[in-house]
Amino acid sequence: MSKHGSVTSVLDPEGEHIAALRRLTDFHNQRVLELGCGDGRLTLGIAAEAASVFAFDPDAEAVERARRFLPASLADRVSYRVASGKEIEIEPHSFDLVVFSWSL
Amino acid sequence: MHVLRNMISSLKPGGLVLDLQVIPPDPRVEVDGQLVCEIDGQPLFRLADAAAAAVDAAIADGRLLEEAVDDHDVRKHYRTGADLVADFAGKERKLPADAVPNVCAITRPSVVRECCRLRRLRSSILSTTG
Repeated sequence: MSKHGSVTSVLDPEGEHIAALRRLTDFHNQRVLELGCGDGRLTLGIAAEAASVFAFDPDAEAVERARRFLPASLADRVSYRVASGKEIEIEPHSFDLVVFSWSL
Repeated sequence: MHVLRNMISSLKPGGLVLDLQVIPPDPRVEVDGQLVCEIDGQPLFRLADAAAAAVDAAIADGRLLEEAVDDHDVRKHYRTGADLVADFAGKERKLPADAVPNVCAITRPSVVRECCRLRRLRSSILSTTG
């Protein structure tokens, strides 16, 4: 659930996005890089199966929310960073899978 | 596009890219599954088109292979129509001006439904050497 001022909204409580991701791939044992993670809505669904997720977004407030709501059970598999796709430096050939969430 | 090139290089040989974007038609405002109005989706479609063009260029020059596409609807739920209008107040995507009073008057849960496309692409780089 997100709150902007007095506005309350919930994006995709039906889980259509994570269901689509799972239809197209199996995250088990995958090292995943996620661009545009926002508040981590998809990150948690991916991390439930993946070996690890490195997720980043240029929106510092959204990333702070993502860190705040990261369950302890996933803390050793998820790493969040405030960064944009243009500036971040990623080690070549280090991930099995890249997820772009409206971020290209 | 620099971002895409950077991310493809981060993949192990044969690794996957999952690219999620919005696609037409325009998002719909619905109450109880019934259409209230449509939102001009062009501001996001233009960005999505640019992203799709970058991916298509990577396919054309052999860096990526497209393996699968999944189109699906996604809904954003609001407590009332007024909440929905307030959420869109600062966005590039706009509700039609003549529909705003009607949407504001909706006291029931309101939904924005939009269509998204997920593409699965595989890096065609099969080795880190040579």
